[in-house]
Amino acid sequence: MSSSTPKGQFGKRIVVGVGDMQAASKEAGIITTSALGSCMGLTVYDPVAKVGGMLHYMLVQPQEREKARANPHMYALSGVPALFRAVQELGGVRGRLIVCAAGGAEIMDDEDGHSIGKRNHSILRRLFWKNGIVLHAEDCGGHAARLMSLDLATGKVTSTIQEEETQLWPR
Amino acid sequence: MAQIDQILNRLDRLPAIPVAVTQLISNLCSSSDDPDKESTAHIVMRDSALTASVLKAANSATAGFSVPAVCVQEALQRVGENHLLKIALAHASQQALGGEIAEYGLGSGEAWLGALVGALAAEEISKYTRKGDPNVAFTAGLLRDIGKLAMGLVVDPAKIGTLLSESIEDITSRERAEWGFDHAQVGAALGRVWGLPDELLNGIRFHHTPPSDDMAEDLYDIVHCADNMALTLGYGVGIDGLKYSINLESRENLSLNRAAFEDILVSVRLRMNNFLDDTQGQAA
Repeated sequence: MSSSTPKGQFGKRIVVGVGDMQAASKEAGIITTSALGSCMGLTVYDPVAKVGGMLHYMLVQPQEREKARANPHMYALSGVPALFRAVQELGGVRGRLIVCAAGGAEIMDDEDGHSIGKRNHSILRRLFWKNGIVLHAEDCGGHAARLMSLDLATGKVTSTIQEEETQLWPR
Repeated sequence: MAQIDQILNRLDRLPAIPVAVTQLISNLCSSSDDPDKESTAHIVMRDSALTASVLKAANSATAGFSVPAVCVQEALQRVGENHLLKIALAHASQQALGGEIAEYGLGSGEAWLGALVGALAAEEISKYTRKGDPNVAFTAGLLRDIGKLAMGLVVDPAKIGTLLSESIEDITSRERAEWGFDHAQVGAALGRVWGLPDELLNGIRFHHTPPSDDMAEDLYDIVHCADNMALTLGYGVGIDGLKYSINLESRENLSLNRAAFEDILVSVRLRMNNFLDDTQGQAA
């Protein structure tokens, strides 16, 4: 999807590919996803420490546990805890973390239980509910691909469909 | 289809395909003992960029040799003709598919990435299900969306973006309702101009709407499911988004249950970076 991606105040940008995760402090600039189809982008940011990270996961969990060990960021169940750990290791404090999500789009008429986008979205809600984590903002579902970005200096989180940008945080 | 052929025939210029691509396709999709076949090494050596790409792939860390390959024949021996053909085809197809397709909201390189993911997905599905020919599946997956290159020439390009963004139903149905044909049919017509074999033309034509009648072939189901996978992963997705209908029968025909679909999705993602690195030294 064609869209110019902004750079942070330090002019830097990290792109998080499919099934990948990145965490950094404000000097790293902006973290963005490549296009999110049914995958989910998840950002976690501490506005005091000015550290944050982004996960771009593909699926809920693997069929076999070893696959999650080899590629933890491809899956929600291994990638989400890894993202929180990575941000906390950089100095983020759990009680201050701003959490946003985008993605989880669906191909049309996917009615036979594949529904990867819907399942990717609902596992996130279940995980957060179980662990007492607040999801501050989200832009999920539908049939459009999105780009997600997190400005590590300001904490601004956006979700963009084509050229139309929605600011998820601050609201 | 005759209507699209007539429109294409009237046009002064059409998207072109490098000669090397059609020759590589012919080698990849035909039997190895075809006497008329030109050697893959000769096809590659005629194109300096292609030669460089092939040597780079053969000398990459994954190839595992300490002494670098210095000629195409040596590269062929190292990585095998089948793999080398796919690398060369992916590299050469960049010339046709690597540009921007503004009407579909695809920036430079995005359509090509989507093509590559579709190619790898089709090959993986074919291998996993033991249906179809993995090489033909790879090629059909790669070329499935060439119709998007020509849509802006056969209909008013300004109307494409509006139709795609405003549609709340399956894009191919909207295209057919608006213009009488969809981009998959245009792709098949363009492929005919390029001289592609009928099997590939049908793979392109049916990649969104595989037939269930006596026209049905495993290849069409494979390319349809591969297209689903590329959309799911977000590669090659433009203004049209994921507004395409799934043909559930294709998954049934291929016995592609949820676990299998997800396994293949992961395999494709894991192969993607290595393949891109071999092709042009860029990561997804």
